[in-house]
Amino acid sequence: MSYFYLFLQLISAILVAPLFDGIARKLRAKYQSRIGPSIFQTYRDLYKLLKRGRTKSHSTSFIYQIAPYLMFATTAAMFCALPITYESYSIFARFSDIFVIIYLGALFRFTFIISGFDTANPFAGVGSSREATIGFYSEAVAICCLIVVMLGAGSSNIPLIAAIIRDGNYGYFVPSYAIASTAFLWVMYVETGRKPYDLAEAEQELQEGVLGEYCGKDLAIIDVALMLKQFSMLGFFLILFEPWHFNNPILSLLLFLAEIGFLYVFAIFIDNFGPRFTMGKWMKLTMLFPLSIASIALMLYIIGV
Amino acid sequence: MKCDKFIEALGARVKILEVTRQYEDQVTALVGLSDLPEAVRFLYYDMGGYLSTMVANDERSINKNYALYYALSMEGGKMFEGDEIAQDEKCFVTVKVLVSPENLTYPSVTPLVPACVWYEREAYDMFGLIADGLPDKRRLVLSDDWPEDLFPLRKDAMDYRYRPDMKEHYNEPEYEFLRPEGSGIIDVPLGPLHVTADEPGHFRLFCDGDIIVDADYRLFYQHRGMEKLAENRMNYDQMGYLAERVCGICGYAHAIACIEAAEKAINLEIPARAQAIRIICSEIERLHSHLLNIGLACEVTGNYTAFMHIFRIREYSMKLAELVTGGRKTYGNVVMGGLRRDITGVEIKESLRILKIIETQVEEVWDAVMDDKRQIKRWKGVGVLDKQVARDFSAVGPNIRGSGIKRDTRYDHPYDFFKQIEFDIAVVEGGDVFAREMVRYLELKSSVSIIRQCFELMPQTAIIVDPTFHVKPENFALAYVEAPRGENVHWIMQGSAQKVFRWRCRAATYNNWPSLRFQFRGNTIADAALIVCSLDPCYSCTERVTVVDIKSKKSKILTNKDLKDFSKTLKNSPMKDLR
Repeated sequence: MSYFYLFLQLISAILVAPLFDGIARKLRAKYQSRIGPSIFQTYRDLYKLLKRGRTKSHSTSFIYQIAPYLMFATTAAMFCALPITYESYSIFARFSDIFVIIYLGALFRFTFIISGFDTANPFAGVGSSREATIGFYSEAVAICCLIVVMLGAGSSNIPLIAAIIRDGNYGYFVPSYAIASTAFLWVMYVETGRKPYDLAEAEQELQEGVLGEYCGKDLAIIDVALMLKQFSMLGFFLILFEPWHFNNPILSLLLFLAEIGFLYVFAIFIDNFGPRFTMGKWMKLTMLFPLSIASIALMLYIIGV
Repeated sequence: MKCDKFIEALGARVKILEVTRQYEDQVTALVGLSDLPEAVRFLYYDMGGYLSTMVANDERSINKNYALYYALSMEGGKMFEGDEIAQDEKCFVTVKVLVSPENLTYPSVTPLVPACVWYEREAYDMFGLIADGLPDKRRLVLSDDWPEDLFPLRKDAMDYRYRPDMKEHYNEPEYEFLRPEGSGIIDVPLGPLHVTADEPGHFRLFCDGDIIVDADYRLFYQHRGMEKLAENRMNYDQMGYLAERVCGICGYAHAIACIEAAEKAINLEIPARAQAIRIICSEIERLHSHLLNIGLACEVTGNYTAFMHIFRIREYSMKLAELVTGGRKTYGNVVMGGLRRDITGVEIKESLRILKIIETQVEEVWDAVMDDKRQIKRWKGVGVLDKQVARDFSAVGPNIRGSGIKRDTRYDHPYDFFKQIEFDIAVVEGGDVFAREMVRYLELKSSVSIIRQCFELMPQTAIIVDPTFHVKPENFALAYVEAPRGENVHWIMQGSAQKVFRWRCRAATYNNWPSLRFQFRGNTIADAALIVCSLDPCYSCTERVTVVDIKSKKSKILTNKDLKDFSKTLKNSPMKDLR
């Protein structure tokens, strides 16, 4: 039965993600004085892409071919590692660990980067090196915040941390935890790769600089993988810092998807206005804020509050 | 008379063989071949000229020689306050030389006046005239696999229907980019299809890490040979329409420049009402072109919301064009002697209402964009065009006005109705993307005021004069128009039987490209697309696609309609009958 729920968790996320994307697009269009596409447009886009064949340039190797599947598998595993439909006593609970998610995230980024380099497209290469730089900026902040939470709760096991917070033994009354949550939300937003933190250096479309060479089926799979990654990143924040929960797995899944959808759609108020950041000028500058917030949280933890 | 002062000064410097006057403000001085570089340099730097155009011409049927015309706009160097020629003395001085068909060489002017570089490269491509001492002798206009000994604009070179055989794409010679010296430099090709403009142009960026050390570019992938086409079979009325199709954005400016060149060559004065409507149309064109460019400058930095709102406003300017001319984009109302279509009082009233909407909404959106510090930071300090570089390369339009040089054809050489209209020239110091976009915003405002003044002063005359006139062969004249991207110069030499002998169409961007590499230097790759965009480049596009099946080596031309239909229905695949 628990397998069924885990499966349901993944499938529902894949099925629902394009809908939230469509809602975000519609809302964005409203703010741009456009009518905008229907909220089901992302499904149609994916369907269209899935029908199309794949192309491959002469310079690519097998990495290019397996990368989409690898990316999808990584993000799917990442999403499954979020304890939404299962609890700390379930058999999957021991895999659901902060370190598992961090390393899966790193694996995803690695695959993403090498798939860009592998195409020998200069813009994909530039995009890849940017993606790596974003990783340097965001991972340090994320780790700082997570150290605070892990040491504060005394475990790196996510269901366990969630249970401790729900029981009221640890939570927002601890200042270091509360402050870490701010920096962590910020950095998770950066990880979703939305404007203004997407790649100004690459193509004009957000992360697509890296994906410049992908098309057809491959692109559809990567699109789904990217959406899943955005869901996992927002979910990672929600699980650690907003672990609301029902005893019924279906109900908690619905609640969780609604929360993610809310964050996903309302992020347009950040990404829709203003230009994107360049790596040199603004990325450095703005990433200093979450880093300092995370450092404050860490310091607060060390002095014991 | 105008120009005499310059001819006198030039005569003291070099030996002038012959002086001819084409129009009240246009004089041509024939000089000896060895005096050419000095004559052009003297007029350019010492007398304060800017290179407007250079025309190579095959005059073997007239005087057994090839001719080169270096047309300089005498308006003052404008490098500092007061460095400007008095308003009533501004004129065009053309330096002409004859190149004998035996040795085909002439001394290059480029080492002394860098602005000539593209013109002299083009003179080789089209006529086989070799500039002795030209530092950069690569092909400019023709494709790399063009036959070595075929120079298309020579009168005896080829029939306009002739197409040289294409090389297989893997046999095509590689274009050599000018690579800077040094190790650790990475090539980043931006193109052949430009990423944001989706237009053909290959920019090769040489980067050290993030920073662009140098750049080189190959353009003219879709050269359409319009000059050859016009020479052979078009009469003057048809040429206006052909010229309007030079560009998809600022075509009207080309149409009036082309027709006015022909009108000037026969000293034809057009009625005041036609003049006013020509001005209105070209200013409407400026409205939508500048709105397009400001919108794109937002879009390239990722600010889609501003882009969409600016394009919403742009729709009103198209509506305005529809009221005045009947067409949203290609107006097609210019003919020799005037216009084809008049406007009614009702249309003027409605136009004034739309103008008011444009004025208020542009201001609102611009204020919103200016409130966004992040947007301004993306624009400021990027792609700086140094004032001296702009001077050396004769840049035009918002590109040079953003560098603090007050150079505007409407002001320097007022044409048509501009003599009776008051307007401000937008000049902004700084030379970066921000300055150029600011110039465009200020020009939007002045365009609105110009259109309004034209409507208010609208003369009650006819719109066309009786177009019975006699074209005199071998007459030539320049016509100049301030298009949205800068000065467009057309040069027409008339031939017999109502046909042109030589038509030289110089679009504004042609003068802006050569200085682009200086704008690239020292910026990051992130800003490369933005810099190209801020130049408001105008590639020439075609609406036809060629589909080639590599296996069977057959090709087929698809029209725009075929391609659209196929994209919509996925039926009748164009590839079907190729296999």
